[in-house]
Amino acid sequence: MNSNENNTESKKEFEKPRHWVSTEELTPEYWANEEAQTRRGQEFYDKPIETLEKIEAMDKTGVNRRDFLTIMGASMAMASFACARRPVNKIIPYVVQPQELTPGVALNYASTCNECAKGCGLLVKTREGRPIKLEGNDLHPANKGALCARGQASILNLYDPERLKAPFKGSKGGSKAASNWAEVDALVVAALKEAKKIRVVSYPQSGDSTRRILKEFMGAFQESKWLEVDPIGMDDVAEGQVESYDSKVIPHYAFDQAEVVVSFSADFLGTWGNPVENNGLWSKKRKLEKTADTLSKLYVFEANMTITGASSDERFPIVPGSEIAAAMAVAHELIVTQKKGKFAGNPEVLALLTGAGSGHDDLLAKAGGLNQEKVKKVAEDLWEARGKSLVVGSGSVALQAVINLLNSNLENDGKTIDGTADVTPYTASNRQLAQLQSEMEAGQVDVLIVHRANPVYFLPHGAAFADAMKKVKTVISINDRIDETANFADVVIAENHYLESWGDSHPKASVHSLRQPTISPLFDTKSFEDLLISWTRSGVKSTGLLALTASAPKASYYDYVKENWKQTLWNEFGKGQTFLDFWESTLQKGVLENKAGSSKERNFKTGSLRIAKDAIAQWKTLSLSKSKKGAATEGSGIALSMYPSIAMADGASANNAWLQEMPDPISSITWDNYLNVGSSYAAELGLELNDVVTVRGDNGSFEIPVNIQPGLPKGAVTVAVGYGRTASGKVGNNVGANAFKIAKFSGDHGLQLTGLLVSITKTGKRYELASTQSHFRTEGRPILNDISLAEYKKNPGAASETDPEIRLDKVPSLWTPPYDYAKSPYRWMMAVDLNSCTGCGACVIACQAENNIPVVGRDRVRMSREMHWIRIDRYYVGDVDAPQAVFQPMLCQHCENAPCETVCPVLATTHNEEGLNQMTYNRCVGTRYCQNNCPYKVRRFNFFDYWKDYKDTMNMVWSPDVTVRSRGIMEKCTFCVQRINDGKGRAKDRKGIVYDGEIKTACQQTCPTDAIVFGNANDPLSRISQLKAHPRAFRSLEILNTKPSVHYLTKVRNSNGGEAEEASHGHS
Amino acid sequence: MNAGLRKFALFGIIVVFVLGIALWQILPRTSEQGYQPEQPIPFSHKLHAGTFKIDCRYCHTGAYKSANAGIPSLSTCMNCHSVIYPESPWMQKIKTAYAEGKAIEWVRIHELPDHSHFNHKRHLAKGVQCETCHGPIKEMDRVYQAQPLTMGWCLNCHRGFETPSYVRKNIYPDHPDGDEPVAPFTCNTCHY
Repeated sequence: MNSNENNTESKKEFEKPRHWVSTEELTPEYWANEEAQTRRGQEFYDKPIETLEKIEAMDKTGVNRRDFLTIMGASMAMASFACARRPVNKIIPYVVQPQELTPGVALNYASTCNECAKGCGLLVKTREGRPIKLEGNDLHPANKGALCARGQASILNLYDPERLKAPFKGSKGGSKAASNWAEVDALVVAALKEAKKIRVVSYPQSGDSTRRILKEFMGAFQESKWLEVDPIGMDDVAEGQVESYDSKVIPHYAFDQAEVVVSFSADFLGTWGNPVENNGLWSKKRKLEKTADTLSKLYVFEANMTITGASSDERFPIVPGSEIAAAMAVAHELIVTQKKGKFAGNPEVLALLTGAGSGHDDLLAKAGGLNQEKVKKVAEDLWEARGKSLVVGSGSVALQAVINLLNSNLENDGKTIDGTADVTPYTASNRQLAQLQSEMEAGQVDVLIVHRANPVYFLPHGAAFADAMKKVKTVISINDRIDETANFADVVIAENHYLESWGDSHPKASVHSLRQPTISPLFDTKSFEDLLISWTRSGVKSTGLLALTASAPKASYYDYVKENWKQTLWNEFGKGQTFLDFWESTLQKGVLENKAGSSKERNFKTGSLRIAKDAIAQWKTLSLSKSKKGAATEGSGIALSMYPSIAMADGASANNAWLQEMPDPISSITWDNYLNVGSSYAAELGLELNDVVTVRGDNGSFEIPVNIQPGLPKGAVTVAVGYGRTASGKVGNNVGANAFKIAKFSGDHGLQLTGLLVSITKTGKRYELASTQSHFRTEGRPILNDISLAEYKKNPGAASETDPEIRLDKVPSLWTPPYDYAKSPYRWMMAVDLNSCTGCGACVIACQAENNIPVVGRDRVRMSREMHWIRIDRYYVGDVDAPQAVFQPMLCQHCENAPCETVCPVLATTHNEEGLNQMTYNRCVGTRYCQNNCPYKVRRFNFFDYWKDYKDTMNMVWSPDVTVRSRGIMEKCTFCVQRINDGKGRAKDRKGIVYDGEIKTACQQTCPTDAIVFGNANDPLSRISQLKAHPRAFRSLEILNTKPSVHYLTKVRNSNGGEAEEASHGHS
Repeated sequence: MNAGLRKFALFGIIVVFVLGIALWQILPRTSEQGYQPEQPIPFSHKLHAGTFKIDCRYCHTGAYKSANAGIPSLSTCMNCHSVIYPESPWMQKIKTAYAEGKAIEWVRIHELPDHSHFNHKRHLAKGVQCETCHGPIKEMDRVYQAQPLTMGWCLNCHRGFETPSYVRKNIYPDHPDGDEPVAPFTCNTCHY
């Protein structure tokens, strides 16, 4: 950018691309750079010789090139001999075949996800008794058939070969040895029998039965306490609700009712609340199916660049921690200046909103210099849509108080915010850990049970917590691996995966769902609740239903759940049904939904604003002038915000390679976390991409590479938590750095992850982040469209031409279509609505699970060898310091005139009469011509037998419906042809044709916003036929006359003029 | 032609011939036609399906509802053999295995490569008889692979070149003498 300013001549000539992938593309140097040009122009991303050199450097201990060739030669010869007689394969039938099971036919079971506490409904697809794919349960009211990336990936955790295979015992912090259940149970029972004061620390539990059994278990002890902790939970929201409304709940936010949504750093489409549900609700107002439809409006004030900010209509980058100032500024504008709403005449509110340090200009300055006009517009829009607007935020309790004020003042409470009817009490709280630690330090705790929680990892002073644990008589950890916390336990109890256990979930008042096991435990493990029952049976005192269940010799937690449902829910909702009918029908559906009643408006306690006033008084404006040009020095106050990344969240599933290799939707980086620094700010600090810096906070420091992230304000840096695990397993250990280390934690404020002042020092080291951003560039071709709402209303079809000069119908085609597609009963096509797509990445992982896509590892991602069949391309739009982004899911376009097909020398890729571009693995000889010739760069080559990296139980995750590809062949999206064949088979059975919506591709099925529609374009009534005729529909790179089967629907932004409208033609 | 050259040519011919034989021996076979391994229990299809005329689907229950025809579980054997001919040493073996819950490991005969997906159900739905692909199974004491099961062999039927006339009659009852394809033959009918 700087050199751009210096060179006025090139500035004049150079036209910045509208859509850009990385900041370098905004400089004329990039486009003139010979090396970059060569690289873009050459056949393969890396020349073969460079690749070999890289491999050699990468794997010094491994095989060098010459050995490789020798081994190859020998193995070729041996392979030929071995094939002369086929190896003898065995068929091992069942001894007694289960009645419901036919080998080769999948069975689906309804269950409930337990990857996080939100409890989305699941359908578990099993083949011959092993789960191979998770899908959302259509009947579940929250996720409505969709799942997030983490939910999709949680099936891989089931087959993680590094899960505990038996209970372990040992010394605290010392070595542990495998034991057996008799020994471990005896130890635990002896400790529990003597214990007077016990503490249970667990991940939030939303299941009624789990809650009940744990309470009954603890009830028999003299003193007991149960702490639910979630480092990335919504403690601030719940405590804010207590302050303002006296109820500790997470309200239900009706994004589908809201016409104006304002978010203060709440990444509700990515990680905040239940993102699957939020995506579904929010996108309902973004569909623009008909031209007359309205579009909701989303304002985002945020420190980090999130997918919520990227999808917003207007985004304000603010410094971490100044969300409170921004929210106060909006409240001030609305209530004090414009005198709108019922609190405009409330002297207490007015007094708290004004005064020293809270003048309007002060607030704007504290928020990092917000534009007064824009804040005014936000306030006006909110008031215009009062009762149909929504303000959300994340960060601190003080911020929540202001947000609650705004919502109450805008009459949203009781309308778009339901805090009374469809909610359950929020029980988690991190701040209690401080008290627990002092109790442990004082030696007052007899037994500590830690279940699926990892405070030693996520507490900034984890080591001190671990030391305190050593003073507890007996520490029992119930976990699937010996993690950082379990390391300090006496006994580590091997726990089931949730797909092996019974359970239930009650995330909202209106939803009760059941979890059923879909496979018997793979290893010698037990479920948490079954342990409580067996301990009770061995003589540990207990109460209630637990004692009753334990007294029956063979009863297990299954009987407990059943009895609990009989006692509570059957009475309430099972009228006129026998319990067995009620139970079995609920189990079959997986979820019990009931009417929640209507929500009521709550009384806002104006006094709760006092914490906001205190907070704003203490908040100091960052003195940005302190940061000098050049290397930043200690003491230059830089505000840090930590965020849970979409893939890794709190880091519990760090050993999941699918999630590690999922490119972050914004930064496109895999396998690491990194320090995000804004482009201009990085230039000021003298930081470049891949520079390793030391981030120093009050509590400590860590080293981390830098990522230049457009959209971050000056004075701010952000980093993802959930990385830097040291005891998660081979995959997740030492990936990235643990940012929790420098978070703040106190008994008063809990875990504070944002608004921390840090300093940054350059170490001089470099580290190459494995980013997919620079892979598969479009070389400046027009690949997607976006347009402002105003422009769209004027001319709905304005953006449907990718290049105004060349229209497809005017281009003479050299091709004759190989088939008359109209004659076939089916013509498969897909439409992707860029307006709905929020870039959440669920489709990437769903595709990976469905189509046996391997992971390749960090080093090979660096070499552009990732294997994902669908990727989410993120294109920035607008100013480099405050850009928005468009997400474009890119998959095989199944072109009618497919460039890949004409260059294949062995006809391994061909077209069929249903419009599918087929990839025949057994024919492919690996020339990679097709990959080279594909303008969309969606073909993936197997450089190695990646499947061989799947060890032991991990091989159980392969779907038998899809070939596991071997070395040397090309692969790509098939439109889930196995599902198409399956659906066609079902249609043939009923002697009809496939009806619309019967076949869903894996990506479509899991999409929370319904952005992907797949279907038969030969059926004029199908959704796909309607969407492809939609005025917003366009085909990517239409100018190349490839005639893709995938249609994209233009992104329409509800912007307030300015940048986006100015360039409203929207071609990149 | 001088003698040296003649000798050289002769030597060359012999070398080519020997190499040819060696390659034919070494290179992978495309078909396992005729493969007839010994099974752990000499189950006779001739006796069960031929003499006693037990329907194939009594044991191979998956054939009409799944891609896999399925090998019967031991409990299927026990349905009859708990009373019929229980004293045979082979039945004793089955009984022991059944009691211990250990399955019999049969040797697989008909096997397609992993990259081909064959569906029994679809073929049965069009009335293809078991014998068309599996040969005279009712006359086999020990089962062998009667057909090549190669892609060319599959396609000959799908494309209508060598389609058995009864299959064609099922599919085109109006004109059973045509030569049009009887089934799809695009790549991802089978390969995906």
